[in-house]
Amino acid sequence: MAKRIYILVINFLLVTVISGCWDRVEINDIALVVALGFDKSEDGKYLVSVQIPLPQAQGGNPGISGGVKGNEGYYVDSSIGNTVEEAIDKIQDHTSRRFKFSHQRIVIIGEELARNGINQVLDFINRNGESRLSAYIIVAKGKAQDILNTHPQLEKIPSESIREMVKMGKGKTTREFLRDVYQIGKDPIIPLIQVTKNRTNNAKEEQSNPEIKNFAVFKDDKMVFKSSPKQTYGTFWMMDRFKGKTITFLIRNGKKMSVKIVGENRKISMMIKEGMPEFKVNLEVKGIIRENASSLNLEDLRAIHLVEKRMEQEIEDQIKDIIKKTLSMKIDSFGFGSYLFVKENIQWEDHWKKKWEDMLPDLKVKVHVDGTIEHSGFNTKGLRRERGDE
Amino acid sequence: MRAQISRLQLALLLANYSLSAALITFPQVIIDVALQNAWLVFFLVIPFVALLIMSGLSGRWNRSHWNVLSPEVTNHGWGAKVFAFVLLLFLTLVILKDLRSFTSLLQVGFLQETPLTIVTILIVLVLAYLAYLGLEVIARFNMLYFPALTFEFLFFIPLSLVDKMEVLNFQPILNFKTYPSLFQAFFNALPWAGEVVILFLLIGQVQPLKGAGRAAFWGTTFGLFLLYINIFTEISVMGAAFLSNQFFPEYAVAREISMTDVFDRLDLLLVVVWMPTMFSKMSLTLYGIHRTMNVLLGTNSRVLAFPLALAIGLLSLYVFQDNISYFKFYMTYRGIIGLVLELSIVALFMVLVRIEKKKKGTA
Repeated sequence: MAKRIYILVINFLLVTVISGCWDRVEINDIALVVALGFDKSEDGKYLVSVQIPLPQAQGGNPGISGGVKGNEGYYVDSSIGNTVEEAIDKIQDHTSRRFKFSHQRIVIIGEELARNGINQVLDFINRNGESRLSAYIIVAKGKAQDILNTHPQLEKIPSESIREMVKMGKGKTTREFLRDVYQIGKDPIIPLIQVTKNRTNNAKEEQSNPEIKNFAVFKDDKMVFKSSPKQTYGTFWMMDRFKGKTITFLIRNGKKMSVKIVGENRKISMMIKEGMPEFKVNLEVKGIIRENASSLNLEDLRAIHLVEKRMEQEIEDQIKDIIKKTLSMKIDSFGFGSYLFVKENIQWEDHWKKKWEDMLPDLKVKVHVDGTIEHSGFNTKGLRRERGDE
Repeated sequence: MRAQISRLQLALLLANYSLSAALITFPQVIIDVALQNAWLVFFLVIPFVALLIMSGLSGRWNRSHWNVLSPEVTNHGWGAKVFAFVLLLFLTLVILKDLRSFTSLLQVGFLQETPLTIVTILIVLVLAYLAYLGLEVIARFNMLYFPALTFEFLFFIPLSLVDKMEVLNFQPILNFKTYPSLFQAFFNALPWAGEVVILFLLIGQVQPLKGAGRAAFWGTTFGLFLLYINIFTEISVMGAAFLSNQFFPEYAVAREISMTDVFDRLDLLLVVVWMPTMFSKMSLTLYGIHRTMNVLLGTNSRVLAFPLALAIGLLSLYVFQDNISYFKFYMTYRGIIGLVLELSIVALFMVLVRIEKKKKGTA
């Protein structure tokens, strides 16, 4: 009898609790946030923007996908709050569908906010179980909100266009950014994106596009400066992410040459002189000549050696430029301190850890580039050489 | 009919006992202290596990000596009751810790709007049902799901993350400055590895008995091996400094796994594979509590599992009203209380089997 009563009680309890989960939500009640933009508002609060794709415009089922505004495939909404969460809550208040952040792919930080520190934004992303650390993080020149409202030609959603761009070796995920912030002796460095107009002579086709031209250099969670074009190239080399890109440099008589990089291998070595660490960056580069604007005869081996030498010089300058700039500002973007922590842990803990920041401007870093031209391309001497033009 | 489990089932039960619940917050506990060297704790912990098992099972005994808390007997002696009481305390601490960390992860990661009470009640009802069905069912249930978890942690997670692993993340490996933190982490890890003492409740029901100790050792070692493989993966992907600031490092790593743009987020799938093994571990603990309570009350009631499960559920909600209080609790538990209880269980078991042998020898 007691057993039957127990079973009855259990069944009753089960019926009451399994009737439905509180977190159940229908697919036609959710809005997938694919990109988040964070800016500083005029009154110093957080201006948060969300970008939501409109599936009907992407070719989805209109019954479950939400409406289409004009001919755009996405919708951007923003709000201001004292905290990130408060701002998002305010957007949610006037949105008919519940936000889901689990498919968020891009996090864009406005430049002004980045310069003031993004600790709170990182806290929001890392604390929220729904958001993902595999989302790429970038800084916007100007407002993040403007980047989210661009109209890329080849993708239906700006966030997808940006993601594809940063995926090509330029970007860092939120995980990588957080790891750099937490890591001893390393400061983050991430791409900086800006809005540009496409160049077309058809006014109707003129559109604003997102474009990545620089890097935002951080000290801890604060952006300090943006890299110049030369420093941007130097950063790519130091990040070991130049492969597939093209380097253009002066070769002779003001004429230039373009070489596509097909292989790179960067190594950092270190030695201690008089109790102070000295670093050497060794870079092996392999390239294929893609364009020869000069009259150089590329059938001549001496010409190839000249190209290699000029290329090495150009790369060395690019690397030295970004290293000099970051170190002079007491920023360790390329993890020299982290390298010491790993390789010379005891000395790091005993001597360098506490004064590392002050040591950075005086840190000696040598750069050595070993360039190889693997192929001169399909042409032999080149058209102008054949004609005897100089 | 007396419930019996095979040596393989025992090994898998203990492997799962070492692994499933520890995945939730244990990595943070040792990474916070030993940072990039946390995975090396494995090599220190194994001798401790071997010592616990070997000392507990030392000597030549037969089943009747080992089955000190036999479910067939209702009038146990005072020695068995003291042993049952210590086991009860130990298992209650284990289940409270596991249940609360499980519900905590579910709450923050998946079911933010479902009341904690409901989640807890649902879980304890499942546990109660499994415990009610008995050891054989729990062992079979475990055999069904543990291989999937093994595949997940031995192959799937490391291979999916191999492109994100960085050698620098687990360097510097060792030097004399890192030894103190490594030994601190080892001490913190002891009570977790020591949970293997549940073996002394189960050993009397293993058939055949020969080689049961070896099965227990290899089972536990395998579970711990998977756990530390996982810690190694976590460190190499996320970096120790970042992980030491995460409540749920494993979940943070699971969120990183994506296979192409189509299978972009697999954390839910991974959790679904892992969840049954949590039920397996907690139901085994509840089964132990159920048996020890029967010994203390002098009864042999199976349905006692239900009120016990509900009481544990309510206790976990009442004692740990927020995740910080339970976190603080097991930080204390891991250090002293857990270890003292585990060592007491081994010592009491050693004494009891000798008393049993003497009794049976004179009878």
